Amino acid sequence: MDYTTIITTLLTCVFGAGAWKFYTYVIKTKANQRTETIDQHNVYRDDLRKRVEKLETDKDNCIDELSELKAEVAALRMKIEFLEKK
Amino acid sequence: MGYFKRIKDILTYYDYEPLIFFVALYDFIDLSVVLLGLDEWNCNFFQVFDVWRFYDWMPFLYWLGSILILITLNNKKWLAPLITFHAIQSLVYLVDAYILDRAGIFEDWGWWSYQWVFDLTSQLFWGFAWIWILFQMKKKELYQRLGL
Repeated sequence: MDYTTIITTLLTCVFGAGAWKFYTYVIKTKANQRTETIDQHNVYRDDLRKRVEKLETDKDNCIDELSELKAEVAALRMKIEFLEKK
Repeated sequence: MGYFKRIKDILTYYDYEPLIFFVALYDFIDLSVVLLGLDEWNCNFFQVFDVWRFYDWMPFLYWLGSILILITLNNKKWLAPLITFHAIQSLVYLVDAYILDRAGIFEDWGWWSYQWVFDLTSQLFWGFAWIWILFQMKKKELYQRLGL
């Protein structure tokens, strides 16, 4: 085994290890970006869920109020009809 | 073309463990024939082994490496360093085959020159195969660690 073989093998190993480090760095960066995007999507989804929940509660309240108003309007209509006949 | 596409698909979509098994098995059988075969003095490799000779250690370690790879096929902790060692050895063989064995090959082109080209090509293939396996192994480990 002469020096050329030793040096060539060592250089290939060093450059190979360097290339692997670079590849690892690129993959890790991509994975982090992907995680960040997923986190952002999750935050947006949670926000939407909260808003939908709030709107559903508001809708139920509005339906209740509407029912009460309808009943009052019906009662008032009956009263007006009765007064008009009188 | 369908044949090469099939090979490409296998290398792309299939896992590397069966490849390790068959390549290591080939190495083991090939080297066993060489090391246990008898020379003109009716001696095998181990009977003429010289502990001070680097080129006696190389095939022996390569042979031992292939046995250990076959044994530790289901143990990734041991398999990764063994394959790294095997890949580096393939690289040393490749560089040696190109640098040391080419004396007079180009000046006096003949039968031995073709033999040299054949040896170099086969060594290039095996070196590439082991480095590819090592890369795939490390890549899978990295992807699993990152949860990809």
